[in-house]
Amino acid sequence: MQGEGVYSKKNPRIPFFYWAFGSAFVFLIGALAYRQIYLYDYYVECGERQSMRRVIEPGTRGDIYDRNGKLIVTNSPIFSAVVYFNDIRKEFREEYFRLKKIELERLRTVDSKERPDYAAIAENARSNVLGRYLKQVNEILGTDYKLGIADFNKHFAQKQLLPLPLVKNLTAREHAILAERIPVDSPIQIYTGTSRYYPYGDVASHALGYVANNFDDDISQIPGGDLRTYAIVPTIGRSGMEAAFDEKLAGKSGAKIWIVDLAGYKYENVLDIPPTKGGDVQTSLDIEVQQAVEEAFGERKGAAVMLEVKSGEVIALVSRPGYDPNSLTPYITHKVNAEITERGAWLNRATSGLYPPGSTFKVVTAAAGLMSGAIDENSVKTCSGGYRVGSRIFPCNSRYGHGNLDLVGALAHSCNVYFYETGIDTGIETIADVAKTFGFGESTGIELKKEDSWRRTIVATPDFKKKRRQYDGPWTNGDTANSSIGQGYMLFTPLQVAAFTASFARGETRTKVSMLHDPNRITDSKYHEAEKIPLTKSQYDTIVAGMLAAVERGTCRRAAIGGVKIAAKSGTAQVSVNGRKLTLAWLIAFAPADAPEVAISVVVEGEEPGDVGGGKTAAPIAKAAFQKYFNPDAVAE
Amino acid sequence: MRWRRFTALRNVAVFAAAVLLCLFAPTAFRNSAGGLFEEFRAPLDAIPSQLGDLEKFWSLSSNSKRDLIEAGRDLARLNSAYELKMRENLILRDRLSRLEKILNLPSQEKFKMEIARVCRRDISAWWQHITIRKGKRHGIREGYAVIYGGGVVGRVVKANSYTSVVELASSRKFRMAAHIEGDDRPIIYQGAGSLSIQGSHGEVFDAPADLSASAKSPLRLVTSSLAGTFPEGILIGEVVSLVPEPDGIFKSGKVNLPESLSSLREVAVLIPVSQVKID
Repeated sequence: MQGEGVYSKKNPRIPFFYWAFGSAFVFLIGALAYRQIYLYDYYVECGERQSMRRVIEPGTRGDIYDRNGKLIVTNSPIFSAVVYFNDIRKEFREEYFRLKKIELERLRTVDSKERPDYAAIAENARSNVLGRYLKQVNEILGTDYKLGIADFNKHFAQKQLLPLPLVKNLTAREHAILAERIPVDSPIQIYTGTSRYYPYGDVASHALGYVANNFDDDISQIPGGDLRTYAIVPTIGRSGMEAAFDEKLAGKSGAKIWIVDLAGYKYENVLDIPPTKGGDVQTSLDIEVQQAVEEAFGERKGAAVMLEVKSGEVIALVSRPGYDPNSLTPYITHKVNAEITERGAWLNRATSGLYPPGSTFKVVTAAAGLMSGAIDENSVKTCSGGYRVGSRIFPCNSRYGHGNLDLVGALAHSCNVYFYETGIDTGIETIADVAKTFGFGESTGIELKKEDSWRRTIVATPDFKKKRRQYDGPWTNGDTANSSIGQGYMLFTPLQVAAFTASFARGETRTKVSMLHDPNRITDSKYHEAEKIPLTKSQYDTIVAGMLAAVERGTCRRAAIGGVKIAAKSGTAQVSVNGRKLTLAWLIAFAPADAPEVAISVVVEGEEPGDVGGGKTAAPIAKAAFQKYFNPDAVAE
Repeated sequence: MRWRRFTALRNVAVFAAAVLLCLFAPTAFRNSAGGLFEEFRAPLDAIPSQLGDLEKFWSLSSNSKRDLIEAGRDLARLNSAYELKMRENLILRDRLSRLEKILNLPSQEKFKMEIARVCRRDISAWWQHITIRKGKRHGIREGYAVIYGGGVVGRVVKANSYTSVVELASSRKFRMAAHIEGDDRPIIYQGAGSLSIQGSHGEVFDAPADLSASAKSPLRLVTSSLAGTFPEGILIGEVVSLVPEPDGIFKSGKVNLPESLSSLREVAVLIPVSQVKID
């Protein structure tokens, strides 16, 4: 019997199996605990990532109003007839099985052992169903809109949770017809998107700017960053006020998080954050004045800036030619881009155009001469039609000369000889210092990003010529004479010239320019970071008298309007463009002269030699601006 | 005993066969069966309404002679006033058509009215329908607009030979283009599916953001002719509230429908003149 103890409880192999099984069991339990407890968060995350989708919807941008509360930039609705894949899932399945049956039948008939292409059948099924809905829309509208199988499948693959647009940009009539004739519970729905809308078209296009699709929208604040995301692309300001105030104008994106099933269709909404509209902005522009100035420009190229003297607020900021920002939304087509480029309309000439200031600079030269003592209020000089500097005769604008002129007369008739002499007597360093005191060569502080070109503006000095124009030789008296009348190396933007005019009108050295309207702005010299112009009252009044005389009997007669005293100075600068000698028509002015409210600078680019002149071309534009500002209800002449 | 069991089984079998037929019969067959049923049932809807009219006639004729004479006088006055108006309308219409002919303008008359009595109301949480006593035989087709003296009634959703079913403006399935009186920007109106016609209401969407309305200063919502179903300017209801939608462009709000919708006895179906010519 001893020999039969095979099954004895004391068999040494049994504990081994106990241990082996026990260890395996402990290992399994441990692994289970590791996966279920330690890796819990990881698996939850994986599950969510696989079963959840995020849909981002951008917030609408805020509106822009002019200083009188007129809406000048807003959003317009874009209606589209769309289909949500979720609503036609059953139809997809039915169509898929129908097509599959037909395909199998076909293969059986030709006795083929080939497997059906199930992916192609699914694509065809989707195309057939969506095609039927498009046909329904076409029948209702009496149209012939088309979409290809590729459009359907691309949308299905990439934007399954977003509505598929069957017909975009429905007209008001089409929208009304579809709203009435499509059953409320139909899978075809009207989707309302938005598009930036500029009711005044190309008016103030450079000041207002435009928007473009923003593919780099920061959505990191929105929950579900690790989920597969379908986003409707928002817009971002690309230039003008749209870019400068983008942070305020941009709406806040909203999000929906959906639990989806295995095929990617919506199952349950677990998070819904609605998008919110961006803030509104009230600009300082007066759209009617802006419109009047642009109309006065006609087809000419150039720029004009009108400022409120006290606050520095921009009332009009014109750059011609302009463009219609409505044609740039939501994206710029090659055709539109080529057309705007050809016309040279992308450049904001008011803030980025660099022009020699011409005779408008004589106001600075006069101030510098008075400050330095080179002239006084009664200094008289003789103009014989030219002024010899070294071996060269610098001409006056009057071939036969102005005769004897005092400062008032010299400003009124824009006598070059008077200012050649004054400039040489004053010295270029003093003139340049005074120009810099008035803010030339510096930023005006305007919020528009494109004003960065102030860095390229030039207040000509011997030092500048030595460093930047060394090949032209050393600084000469001829350079000083040229600079004294705003020629030579001097280059300013129309905005800088307007800011100078406003500062001079206020009797201060600086004007802080702003595109925002704020009636509560405290506009003292501290705000403008300005100082009083170091001229005596008599000296200052003499210059103003010269500018008044220019309007009454001098070169700026065409800027005059009834009932308002305007102080102005015109200029006709000469430039060389591609070897052609062209002219620039300038005018600076402020009004009323005794209590200035507004200041303006206008520059018009000539296209043929001698076709434009300050008094002839720029003055009527300034007149249109003053007329609209002071007599808004009057009919334009 | 056997016979009874057989009868019971036969009934169950017939019922089951009918259910199966309903479930698996081709759609065309089911639709035509439904249509036939409607046609068969139409007199059942119309007869009570006609009996009601007859009953009213008798109840009126049982009034005293004096009452009848007074009512007759009032009626005669109204009739003569209406006759005068009709004549004026006729003259104006003639003048208009002459002008249209002289100036070579397209005709402004877009709809012809077909007056119909209401014979059935089907108003519940699910349905917001009325049935009228005129149908295809009278030129009525699905989709035609239905109005009454107080404004919009709804749209024909089913036209049988002698009756038609009208979806009321209060139904959730009713949607149309509209605008505020004096402001031609289009707005979408949709019924809100009220439980009862009394105090029924609807909703507006896509209303311009600069509009505002309240119970104290409501805005009159009228039909738009954009979609071509309704003529311009027929009252739908009063917009009593407008709140901004999240997009900031539009507002949505509540519309109170006229109370007289609850006591409809007679409506007018607007038949497009182009359709009349085709028919």
